[in-house]
Amino acid sequence: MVTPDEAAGEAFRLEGVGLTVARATILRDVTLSFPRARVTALVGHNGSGKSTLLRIMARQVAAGTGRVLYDAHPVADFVERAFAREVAWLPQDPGTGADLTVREVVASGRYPWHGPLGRFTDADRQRVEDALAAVHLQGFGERPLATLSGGERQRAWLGMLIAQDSKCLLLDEPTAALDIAHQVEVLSLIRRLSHDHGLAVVIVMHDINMAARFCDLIHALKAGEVAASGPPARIVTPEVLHRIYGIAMDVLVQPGRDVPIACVR
Amino acid sequence: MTWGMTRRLGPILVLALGIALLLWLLVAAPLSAQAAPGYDPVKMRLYHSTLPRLATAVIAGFALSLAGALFQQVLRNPLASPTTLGISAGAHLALVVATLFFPAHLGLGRDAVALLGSALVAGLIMALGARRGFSPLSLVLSGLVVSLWCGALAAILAYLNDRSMVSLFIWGAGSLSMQSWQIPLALGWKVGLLALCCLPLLRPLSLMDLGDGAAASLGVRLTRIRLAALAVAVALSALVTSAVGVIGFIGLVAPVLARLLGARGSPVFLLTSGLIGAALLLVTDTAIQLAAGQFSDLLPTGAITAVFGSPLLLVLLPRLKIRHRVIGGAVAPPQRMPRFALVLAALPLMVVVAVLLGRDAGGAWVMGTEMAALRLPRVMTALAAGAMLAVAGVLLQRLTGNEMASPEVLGISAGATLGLAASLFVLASPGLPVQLGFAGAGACAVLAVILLATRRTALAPERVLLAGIALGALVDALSGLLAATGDPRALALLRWMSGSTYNAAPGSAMLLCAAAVALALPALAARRWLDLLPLGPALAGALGVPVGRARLGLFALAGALSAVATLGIGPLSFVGLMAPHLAREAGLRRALPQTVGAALIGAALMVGADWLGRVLLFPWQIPAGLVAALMGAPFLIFLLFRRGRT
Repeated sequence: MVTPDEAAGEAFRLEGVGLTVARATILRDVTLSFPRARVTALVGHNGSGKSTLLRIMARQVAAGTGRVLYDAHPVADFVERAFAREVAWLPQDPGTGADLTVREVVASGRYPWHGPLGRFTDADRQRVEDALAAVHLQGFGERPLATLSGGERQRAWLGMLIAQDSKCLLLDEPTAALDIAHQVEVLSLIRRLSHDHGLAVVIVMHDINMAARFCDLIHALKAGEVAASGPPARIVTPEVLHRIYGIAMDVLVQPGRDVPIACVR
Repeated sequence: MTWGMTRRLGPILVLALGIALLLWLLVAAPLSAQAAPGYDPVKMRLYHSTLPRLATAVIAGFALSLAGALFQQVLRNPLASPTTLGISAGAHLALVVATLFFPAHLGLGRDAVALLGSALVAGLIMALGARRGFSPLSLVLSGLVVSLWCGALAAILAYLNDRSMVSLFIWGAGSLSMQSWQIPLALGWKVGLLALCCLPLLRPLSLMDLGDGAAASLGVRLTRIRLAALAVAVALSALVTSAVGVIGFIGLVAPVLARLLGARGSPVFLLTSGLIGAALLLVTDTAIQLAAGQFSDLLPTGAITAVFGSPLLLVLLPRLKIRHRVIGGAVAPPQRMPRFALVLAALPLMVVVAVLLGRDAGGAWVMGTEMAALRLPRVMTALAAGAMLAVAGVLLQRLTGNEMASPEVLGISAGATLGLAASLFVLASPGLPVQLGFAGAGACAVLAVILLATRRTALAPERVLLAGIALGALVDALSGLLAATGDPRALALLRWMSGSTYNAAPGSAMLLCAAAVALALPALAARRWLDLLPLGPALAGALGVPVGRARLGLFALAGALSAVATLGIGPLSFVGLMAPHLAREAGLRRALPQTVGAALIGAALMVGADWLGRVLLFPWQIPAGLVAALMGAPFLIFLLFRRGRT
């Protein structure tokens, strides 16, 4: 419904970002742009640095070299809560949420707005209910998070991110714990949020076919450097996939759609 | 293996030369002295005191290190040792209890009593460990808690029975002073026999390095071998404790050194550990004898090794891989209001009873207001201290994401103790504000060391806990040394350590109450941070909590709360551990209600403990801290068991 050429501005801009830990180069000279109102996938082999790159964007790790700009400002310039109102991040394994209930976990997403002492208003409460509805967990509000299944838990964390009401979502393999039906559901939800509300979404993904199906843009890393970048149709080709993963792959086209599908030769 | 060993022969040679030199210094003078005809005290001292002492040091060091190496090998836990698993402390407590209450039965065999104590603790620790998949950290955690508790209880028991006090202290802190060859000879053949028992275990233990699955498929009977090795290790530790008391940390240090020297494979590792341990204890003991001269008999070697050994835990922390996180939640009971109301009602009732109800000179129960003026300061002191410890416990548990954290367990109370001890020994008669300042400085110093030692791992809960416990053990060893001196100030300190409110005055009680209110308010104001921090630093940070500053501020607040409370009620009460849990059991899970509820519960517990201590054994008074601790430890064990199931 939204064509990729419909420009909506730039959320993140990375300029020559590099990171070296204990003499091991994890990222080198990464220059990438992440647009608003688009879902961008970060793909790459194991250890290619995609999660680290996401953590750098989320300010969880400081970049060794280069500049990380959000909204044309260096990310370090934001104070904690101001940044959390702009950018929400979900780690790969957010855990079982201490002993909070689902509603309390989702309500945690309102912290950037009300702060340590501010009042939890009716508007905050409404946001929490909306977020619970968005992830289809209305009936689960009082259940302790630890008693939920992996997929339900993952959706509760996504609910927290939605309640956070930020303009950019950074997600580290959000569908790893989900079955195929829930993967599709969650990714559709994320895609809807991005296109309808103008959110910039960055997802670290393993499944190149899911990335091609649900994302507008794919950035591919290889050994800490940018290997390819562009819309799915330009990335999912035998030549580029060989460059990224180092194995020979064939690309088919799903009948009735123009989505490319990669499979191992 | 051989390459590594030869490359590192240097330190071994240096060690051997050092030992030889020290021994020569010790033995040369009496040997070269002119033989006096007939009665020769110098030679007699050499043959009947110095030489047996050296032999005992060698045997005890070897046995403890062999036990430590066995524990480390079987549990695959680089921090396991008779000290860190609480095995020595168990034997110690059993012997103290037997000495004080069943002296007749001691004749049947000290070794048997020690073995019983050790075996009980070992069984407990292993049962706890099995529920948590023998995760190295939780095993050592429960071991150290049990160890600290056993040590404290033994010390207090000895204090309450002061006839045999000083010698019990010295023996309890591990003294090697000898009057004859009886002990080394008796210990020698038992240790030798147990060492021989290791021989058939060597090959299976080597195979177990491959992992359980691989070893089992090669035909190793895992359970049987494990049990056998653990039994040998427990027996070795118990026998040494029974002979010379608790010698701290040798069993931890020696195997670690053996590993650092490149000892690999079970046979080499066990043998090297034993030899290094023998050498280490010999060197330590000889150095103490040479340095302390005629007072060396009063200077417990075990306390000295603990003073030097416990910091090693801190050094080793970064090497330890954390595989297991203790974070996890109990499912909260749904009904909350009735229990909360119960909690609210309990405290005023408790205060009224504590102030009005007592016993008269004849022991009969009396209800009345005549004694209120005398009792009120005590009650208020207990109330304020209990509330503060409880709030500190809530803060620490939420900060570290670990339900076992508390001022007592983290060594913060121990730090306050040390600060107070310093004030007593440095100044003639420090007033309350000065004592408060010293105690606060001590608590903050411990907190600072914990924060520094765990800085690189961003305050990972398990490391913070372990660092705190290591420091607590260090402080315990130091106060054990003080106690052994028999100094009157040390006795005053011990009396205070047992947690008596006997000396509470109206002024100090008011001060404590004011401090409790002033310090609890910021904790309540930080409720949102306290709600979000248990989610972990990454998530809390992503939600906009200034994690670094919030943690620093809240840790400092917990330190201040613990210091003031410790001053009022002594370092050992476990109220800071119990109250937050009881509040959670009452259905108060969010930060604000939990903090308020825990404060009320803590206050009620402490007031109740104080009252019980006053009337239970009338006319004798049991210190409130001791009563609370006696209730706290079983609770702790129950908690460990229950948490294991999830």
